[in-house]
Amino acid sequence: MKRWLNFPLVLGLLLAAVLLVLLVLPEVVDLPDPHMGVYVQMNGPRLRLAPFAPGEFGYVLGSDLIGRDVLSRVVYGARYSLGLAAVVILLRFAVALPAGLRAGWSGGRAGRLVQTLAVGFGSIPALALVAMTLGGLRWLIPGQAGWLAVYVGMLVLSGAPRMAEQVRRRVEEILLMPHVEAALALGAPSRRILRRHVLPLMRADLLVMLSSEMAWVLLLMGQLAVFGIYVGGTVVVRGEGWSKVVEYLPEWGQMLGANRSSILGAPWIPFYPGLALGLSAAAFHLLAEGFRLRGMRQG
Amino acid sequence: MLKGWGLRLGLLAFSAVIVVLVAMLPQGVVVTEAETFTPPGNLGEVRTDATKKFRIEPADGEADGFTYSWSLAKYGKGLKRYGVELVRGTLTVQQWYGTAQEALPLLPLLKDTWWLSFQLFAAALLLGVVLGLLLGGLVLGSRGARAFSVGLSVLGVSVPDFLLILLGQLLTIWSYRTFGVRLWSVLGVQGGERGWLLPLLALSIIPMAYTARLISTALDEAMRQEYIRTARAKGVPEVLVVLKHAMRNALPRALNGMPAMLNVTLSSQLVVEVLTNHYGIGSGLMRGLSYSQPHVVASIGLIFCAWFVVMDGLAVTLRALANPQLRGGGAS
Repeated sequence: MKRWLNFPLVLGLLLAAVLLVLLVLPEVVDLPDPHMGVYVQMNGPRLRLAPFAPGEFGYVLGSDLIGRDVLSRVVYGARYSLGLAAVVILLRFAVALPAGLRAGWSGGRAGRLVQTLAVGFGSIPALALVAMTLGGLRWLIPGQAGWLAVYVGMLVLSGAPRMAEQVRRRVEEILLMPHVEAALALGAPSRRILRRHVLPLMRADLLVMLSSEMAWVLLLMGQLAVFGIYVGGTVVVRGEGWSKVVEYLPEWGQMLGANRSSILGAPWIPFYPGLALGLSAAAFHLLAEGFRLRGMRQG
Repeated sequence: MLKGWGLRLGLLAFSAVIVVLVAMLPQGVVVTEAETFTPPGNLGEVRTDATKKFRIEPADGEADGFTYSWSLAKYGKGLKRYGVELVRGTLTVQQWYGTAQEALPLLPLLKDTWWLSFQLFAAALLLGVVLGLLLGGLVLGSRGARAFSVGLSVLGVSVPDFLLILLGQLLTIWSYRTFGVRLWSVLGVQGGERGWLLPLLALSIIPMAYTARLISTALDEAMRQEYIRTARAKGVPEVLVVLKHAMRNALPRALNGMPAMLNVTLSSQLVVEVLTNHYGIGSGLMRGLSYSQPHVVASIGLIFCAWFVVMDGLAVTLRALANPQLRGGGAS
């Protein structure tokens, strides 16, 4: 048991357990509606305008600029943010795994194509590439559905070539092993060799890759949010003599990016979504590190 | 090595073309029937009586208000004009840091901006690498020191830059409100050295953690080699064994991870600059994106590509020069 555990893995599992709690919390606890707000509250004879600080009027983590509950929005936000990152990862795997397997197995043109794409996409940091592309495309995409598709597509594209290259390299290593040579000598078809003799040896690598990529996607989502690039859209709320432009969805990236300028006056508004996003990225990074160390110890 | 530089220059040219083509896409936008302009992403409007609770619902027809289209001809013209003005050095910018809405020459502004970014990058890299070397060296100490070194380096790599900055900003807000002590500027570089402190600390975490991890792994491996046992058997003091034998051989191995470290640090710099209002290329990119100034985004993209490729090439060259086998010092 001791051999199985290590510091990053334990810490990563603990943080992942917290994320799991956040995901199921709305089902077991009656939380305020994350879209429900109130701009003015009475504090005795005095009127108080939103945002309300943590602890005021029953807001545990405070309220946002129009009086929506930050705790509720952060808890509900787990579903949107982690769900979005999970979709990106699944799509990346759906693209990169077959491409990497094919490139590693057949080499030649497919191998060179995967290598070239990985080097090309790696020649400029993903954040700069995705921020500039989405910044440029933002004006051409009508509607939120289209924007979500482009956002997810860019996140998939920015990492898929690197993943495919990692898979290609690992496949090439495994193909040199004696059991694969034996299978080849016995005339086993390529699909069977990949499924029965290559993929099972890649399980540990894929687990590390899955956690690591999840961490990078969450990090990228947070970094893009800082540049004002996120999904969810904004809503203008108008009252008597006031108006606010606020984010709609309780998605962590959007909550961080849209409220970045509130850091001096109401720091809790961008801080808690940023904390949630940052700790999620850290959790998956630690899990990846833990799985890697476990793999190394098991040889 | 020359072939490597040739490949890098080729990649630079390729990236530069892609960056300009993508960044200039908004140049082709044509506003067709815009009676009232609605920015992208706007879902509508909610009216409320301030004292009553209200629920926010997006308006029906999410694409409402999108009354603009994209023209290839306009895009082509924009690209051509950008290319000509870039070559002539006559690019201008309307929205820059705290300036009036008058056109300012862009290239001198970008030069100053890059210099500010470079100073921050170089200082953070230096600080991070020095701290990382010290932290990595702790793996040779006691069990507690080793655990501290490994733990801190793993956390340093794992915790995102934006979270570190938010924590730093909250810390100084709390210390100012509680004790009246301002640790560093929360926003802006106008506060002199205080304005530099937070971005510098936040940006140096990544090089520190990477260097510590790389050097500790390399040192661990080097200390198990035969030549170390021989040196110890000869009675060489432990400090000299580490510095002269282990470190000397561990450094080239550690330099293998330098390109990845530079990649992550440069990427992080963009975020650090925006969050701390450091007026470097990250903030410039933000202004270009926020005010829809595609020529600013494209120009910053070009600077970033060139900077990244040069840093990456330098790291690879340094690694080759530090490797005794590649210098011809290996077995012939």
